[in-house]
Amino acid sequence: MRPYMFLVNASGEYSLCTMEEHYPVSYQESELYQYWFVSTGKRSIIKCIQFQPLGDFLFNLCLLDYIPEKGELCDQSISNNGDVRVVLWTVAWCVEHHLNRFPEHIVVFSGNSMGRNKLYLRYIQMHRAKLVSAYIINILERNNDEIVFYVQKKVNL
Amino acid sequence: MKKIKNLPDNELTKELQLVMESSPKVNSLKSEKMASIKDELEANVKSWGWVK
Repeated sequence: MRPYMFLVNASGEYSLCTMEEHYPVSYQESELYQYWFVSTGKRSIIKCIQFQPLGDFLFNLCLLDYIPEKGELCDQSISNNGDVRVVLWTVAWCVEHHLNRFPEHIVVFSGNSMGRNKLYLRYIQMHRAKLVSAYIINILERNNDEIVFYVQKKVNL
Repeated sequence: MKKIKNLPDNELTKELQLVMESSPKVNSLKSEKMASIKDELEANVKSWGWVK
């Protein structure tokens, strides 16, 4: 078990969102790059954002719910906890933190369903101006209506 | 492990620490899927010149 720390926004650094917009996050230092927080919507749900290494530079972003009954992290649950906006800002903040630490990394992600992918598309579109100032985001449709999002920090170019 | 439902903040923090320390297993079909198309993903980013 490695130590973990509670994070605060780094002062003086570009930040996508303010502390008020996202949940407080705990970072667990390991090869899995896990960020933890509690979604406090209709009920309290422990969530984990994990950057799964796919290669030397490519990392898959996973948003996982902790399932107490099974004692495991799962990405299949639909929580409908009424706090999607705060959860997505928390994810965005974690991506930003990860890419600030590792600017050479490329983050990829894809929703479990077309509905989830449309939600991601909508939020990216809503905040496009803010996002494109710091990141390159490519969105590719694969077979069977699957969408993959690719994110790279602009400093690399 | 307790079920958490509207626990006070300090109890939530404790619960979160306990869960983190237990290093729970990950059950993610999406992760498996993304790992299975790793070569395609890498080829795409290389074709865009994102990787030197």
